[in-house]
Amino acid sequence: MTMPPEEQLDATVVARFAADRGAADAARLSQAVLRRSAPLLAVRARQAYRRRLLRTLALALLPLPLVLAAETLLLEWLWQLAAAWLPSGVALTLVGSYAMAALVGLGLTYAAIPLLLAPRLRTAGDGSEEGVS
Amino acid sequence: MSTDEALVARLAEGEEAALRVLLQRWQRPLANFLHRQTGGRDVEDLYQEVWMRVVGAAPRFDVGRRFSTWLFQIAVNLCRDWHRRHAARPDRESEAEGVHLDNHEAALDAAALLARLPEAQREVVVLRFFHDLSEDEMASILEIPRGTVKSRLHNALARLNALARGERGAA
Repeated sequence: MTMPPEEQLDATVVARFAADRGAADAARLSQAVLRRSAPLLAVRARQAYRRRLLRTLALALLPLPLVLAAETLLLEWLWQLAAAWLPSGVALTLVGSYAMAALVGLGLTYAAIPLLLAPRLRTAGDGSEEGVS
Repeated sequence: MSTDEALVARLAEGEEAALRVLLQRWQRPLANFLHRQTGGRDVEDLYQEVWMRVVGAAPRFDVGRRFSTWLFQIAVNLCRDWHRRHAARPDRESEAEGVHLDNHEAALDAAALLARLPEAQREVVVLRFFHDLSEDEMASILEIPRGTVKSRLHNALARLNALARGERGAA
């Protein structure tokens, strides 16, 4: 408690104010707040996760046409090169394997986005900077 | 360390950790404020209600504002509602309006003194002397002009001093 000089209070009042300890067990009250707010926070966390996921997917999908066009050009070039030097069966296997690997890689990259965002959601509910004692 | 305002933004995204930190920082000041405003009655309900409103309104919180001002604004409004609801019931304040201080035990603590103040004066006294807020901050919280804060504080102090003098005279 502070006492600005221009606001002189009677010494008896000052002593009583200074002795006042206020409410007890605020931490117990906070635990009840955490319990009561948990469902609402869980709903909000899920909504936030979905928003973040959609935003990230939208951003990730933006360069996809460019990536696919580049891949197509690369495959064409690889096919021409392989067909010129190798028997057509071997060239087809080589280029086909590369195309499959590129497709799987691309698919896995996009599939990883929700997985990479999910841990942030979990830690949001677990972590505690200072904690409620 | 995150600011209170940044924590409210995280709370709006459903982060329980942010709420834990805010509770840790503000649980004691808020509980004390409610305790002094209501004389210790219904503190648990009011405390939960304040925080549930904070959680509920977090997505609409203006980050340009101070969290403490917002928190106490909610608390003040809930306390006013609480006083309105309990106005019909005899309580410590109305019982004490005569200010005879013949019950020495009742006059021994700060709560008894605060209970003898009208609600508007009690608000400024609690915010000023127990929470160390400036007149500007109090004006924001109570949504009244700074001049009104000053006059309420002046009247409250005069009343408290008169109570103390009266008590000594009676002793």
